[in-house]
Amino acid sequence: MSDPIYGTFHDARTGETVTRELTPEEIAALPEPGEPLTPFIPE
Amino acid sequence: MPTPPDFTAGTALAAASLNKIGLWEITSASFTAAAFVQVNNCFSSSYDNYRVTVNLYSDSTAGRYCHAQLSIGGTPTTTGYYSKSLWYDLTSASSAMVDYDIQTTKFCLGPIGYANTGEGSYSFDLFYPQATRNTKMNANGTGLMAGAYYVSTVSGGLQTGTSSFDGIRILPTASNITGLITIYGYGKV
Repeated sequence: MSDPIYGTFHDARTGETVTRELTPEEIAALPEPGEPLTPFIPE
Repeated sequence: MPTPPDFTAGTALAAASLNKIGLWEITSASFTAAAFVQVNNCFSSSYDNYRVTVNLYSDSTAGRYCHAQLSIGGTPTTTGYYSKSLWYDLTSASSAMVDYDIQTTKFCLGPIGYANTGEGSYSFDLFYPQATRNTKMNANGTGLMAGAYYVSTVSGGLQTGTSSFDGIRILPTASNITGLITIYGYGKV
């Protein structure tokens, strides 16, 4: 099982900040991971 | 009436003085080990242009780039961007840029700090994100990046849509980020 992925959501109108586990739909909408910077050594 | 910013204790703050204040803090939020931070309801008709400051690092030991996407109702817009960041090594005598990042699905801000230690700091302006016209972005940043590089970056971007954006998402190319984002509006009276 993969580690949970969290996102932080802040509402400027109310000042409320919530950090929660992302839904499968939200995870699917994340961009594909990009390449590490060059000339740095990849993970 | 005092001349801004020479306010004195006990003096009434007149509208004529307050209206000359250049930057108003709209909101600020911290985030910890998150895939992104999404700020909603931060852009409105009260301001045309905005200053955003972000201090953050990645939990990755590999180098990561930081990006931004404009959003509507919490949903980021992923098309219509033309953006590039270029970064240079502060310890090198070379005048050349080390590398660049170019994107069409988000704004490029530049490399971010790494391994939960080296913090990257960005300051960028957004022009007309809430108006139904193109949004422009200019950014500068500095930080300690992967590989113990001390770097600075310059970035620019154009969002070619004419949507009225009300929020922004800050996200890395991969891994999680921890930091603080603060959004200000430029006074426009």
